[in-house]
Amino acid sequence: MRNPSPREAGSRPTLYARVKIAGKKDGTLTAWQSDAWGTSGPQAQSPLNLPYLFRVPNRLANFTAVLTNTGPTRAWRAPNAPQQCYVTMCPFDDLAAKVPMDPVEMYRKNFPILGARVKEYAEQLTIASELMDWKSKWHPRGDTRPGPIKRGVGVALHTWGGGGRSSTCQVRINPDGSVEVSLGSQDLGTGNRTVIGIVAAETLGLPLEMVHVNIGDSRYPPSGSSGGSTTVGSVSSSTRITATDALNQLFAKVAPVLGVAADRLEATDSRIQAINDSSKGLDWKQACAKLGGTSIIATNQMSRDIISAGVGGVQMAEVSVDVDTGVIRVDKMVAVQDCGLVINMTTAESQVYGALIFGINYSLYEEKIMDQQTGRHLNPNMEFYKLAGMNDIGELVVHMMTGPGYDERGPIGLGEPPTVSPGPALSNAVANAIGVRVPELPMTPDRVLAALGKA
Amino acid sequence: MENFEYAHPAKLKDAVGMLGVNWSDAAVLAGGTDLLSLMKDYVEKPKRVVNVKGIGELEGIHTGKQGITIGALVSVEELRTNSSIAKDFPSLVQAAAGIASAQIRTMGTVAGDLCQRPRCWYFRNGFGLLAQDADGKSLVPGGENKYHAILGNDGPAYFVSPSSLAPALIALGASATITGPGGSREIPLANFFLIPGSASEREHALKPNEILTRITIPAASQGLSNATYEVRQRQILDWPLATASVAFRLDGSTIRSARIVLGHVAPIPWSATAAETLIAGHSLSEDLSEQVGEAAVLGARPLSQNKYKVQLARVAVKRALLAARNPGA
Repeated sequence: MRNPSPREAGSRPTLYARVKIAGKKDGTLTAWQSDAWGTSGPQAQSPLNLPYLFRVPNRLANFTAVLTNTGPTRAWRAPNAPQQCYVTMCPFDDLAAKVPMDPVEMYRKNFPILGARVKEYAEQLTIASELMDWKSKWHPRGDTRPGPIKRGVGVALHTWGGGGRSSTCQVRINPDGSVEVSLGSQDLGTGNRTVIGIVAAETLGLPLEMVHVNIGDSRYPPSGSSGGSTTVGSVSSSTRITATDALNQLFAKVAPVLGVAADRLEATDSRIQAINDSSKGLDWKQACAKLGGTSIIATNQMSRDIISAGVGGVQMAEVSVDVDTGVIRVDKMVAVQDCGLVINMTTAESQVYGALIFGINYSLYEEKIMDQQTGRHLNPNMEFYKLAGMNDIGELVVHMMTGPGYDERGPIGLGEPPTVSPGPALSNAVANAIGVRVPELPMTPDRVLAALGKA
Repeated sequence: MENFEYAHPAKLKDAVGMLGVNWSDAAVLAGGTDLLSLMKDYVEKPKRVVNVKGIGELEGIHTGKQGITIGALVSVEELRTNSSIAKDFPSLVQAAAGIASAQIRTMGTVAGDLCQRPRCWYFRNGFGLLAQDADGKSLVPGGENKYHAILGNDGPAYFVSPSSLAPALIALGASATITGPGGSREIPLANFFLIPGSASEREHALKPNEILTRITIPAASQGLSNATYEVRQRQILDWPLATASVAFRLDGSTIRSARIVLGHVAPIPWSATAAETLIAGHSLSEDLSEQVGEAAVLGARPLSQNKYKVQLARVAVKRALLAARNPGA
């Protein structure tokens, strides 16, 4: 990593807050008061809404934007949401400890004020609790077992929008049977190419390897940039619509040959055939040969009618903390996530695994150190800008919600939502283990020992 | 990186002759795991780089009447896996195992670990070994000092000695052989490390035209109970926040002649003499090891952000003592 990369790329906006939170003995939240501040560097930061997610009946929230000469701000997966979630879910957990009450139960008590995704949270809390073995691992705050290693579990939940941006797709079906799908889209390494190919192949009734996907070039039809977890929503929609258009053109060509009305044809198993009568059909290549010398070229745009926005997720963390050294080890994390219709399970799960690792990093290690005297960024390298190694990550369990209630919503982007909860889930797990809150991320040994009164 | 002249002599005598009278004249290259980073960051700009990797007389771990000698070019991995070392000196194996990644252990050398430059943020960002601003005032006390020294930090040096192997070697009574134009000299390794008093001084006893050529662990150190305990945030690829190496002789259950050396807490490997005195003549218990840990950090003067390191040093001493008493526990 060259020093200029981290020096110039920009920083995530910070968020600090003093929070007062009130609730009834049954765990229902009644009031929220926060004085928050943060910086986006030299730019004015838009106010961050607090609390995150909860619609607390009595709320007073102030936010002060602080201008600093620390370089520009830069969007960071799920802009503002991890900060807002942390500043909300940690006080909520502190209140649960004070009641005292299992925080999973307290989330359930507050479903009436938890927004649009409560149905998802209800299912996800149950699944996450089973995968974490929450009931046997959770204990009132502060592990009382002897010895310096204290264990604890924590939970947090989150939402995110997703949706789609404008996306234009071109699908070309050639007389030799080859298929090309072209979009001016980009694969960040998270499976965009795979998703586009799967949607086109499934629409055309072909195996994936029959579809050639062209992306990553501005000569292809314009498709939105990657941001806001909108990529999959955009490209799956435009690809589905355009591939359907192209297929309808192919049906129109083949219909007279088969003596079947075009709207009575289907594409399945690399064949074009009459619905409910496979004897009236042609292999894909035979069907395409009927195009003569002209390819079918269909171009169309995405529609929000076949995608959706708004997802829910629940995450749990289990940690071991050495209370004599302040060193935290992540034992296990569980992420239960919905993203509407999952197009490809492997790449969807990978997104969530990556988000958990990302979350472990910002919760325990990553910190940009600016020298207040010289304005220098002191740790612009992999030696001192710390990231987790394989051994620091622990066991990761990912569960994607599928089936009724999820699939029919259509695809929703997944890049950002699972990065939101790891901070508070890990912080709450540490508090559950050691009995006190480490009130800042990353939870480095100096901060853990300071919270314990040992430094 | 600036341009430089490159030399790869086959003989130690020739290598010494290629070094200069000033530090900027030449730099010694062995594993390169530190020097190359320093050169890429323009912290070191030697006119000549003298690659000593071809010098056979700097290789090998040898056991003789005097004890065990470790050549300057022995890799950290070679040290970690050497059976004679493993048999008598688990503290050294533990210290070697804590070094970074397998790749760095394989490339990096024992002498390189001892001679590497401090990891102080300010030094690595070009503010000099003493991290001073244009007026000669140290940036450390009022700056980002959470990894800096808690002991031996009266100034002007606030960095910590970065060597992982030095505390273990010093606890084992090791000596260093230094070769220069006039021949070789042997000094206790503890005396190899110095706290610089001015910007023109270095953190060790080498002169610009000298090479650290070997380390000797005396035969008398065989039979010592010994262990190293490191506190690191990450499990690999991370610098220790504090370490302790201990070595002592047990007479029945009574401790004789204990050495307790802390790492990463002072500009030099820090010999905790008060702790050594306290433990001698006693039988080791958990309570005593806690008291000894306390004694080891007596006089610590934490800076604005590193009070936690006092606790870490205390715990490292306690855990190293208990590990030395119960090897493998």
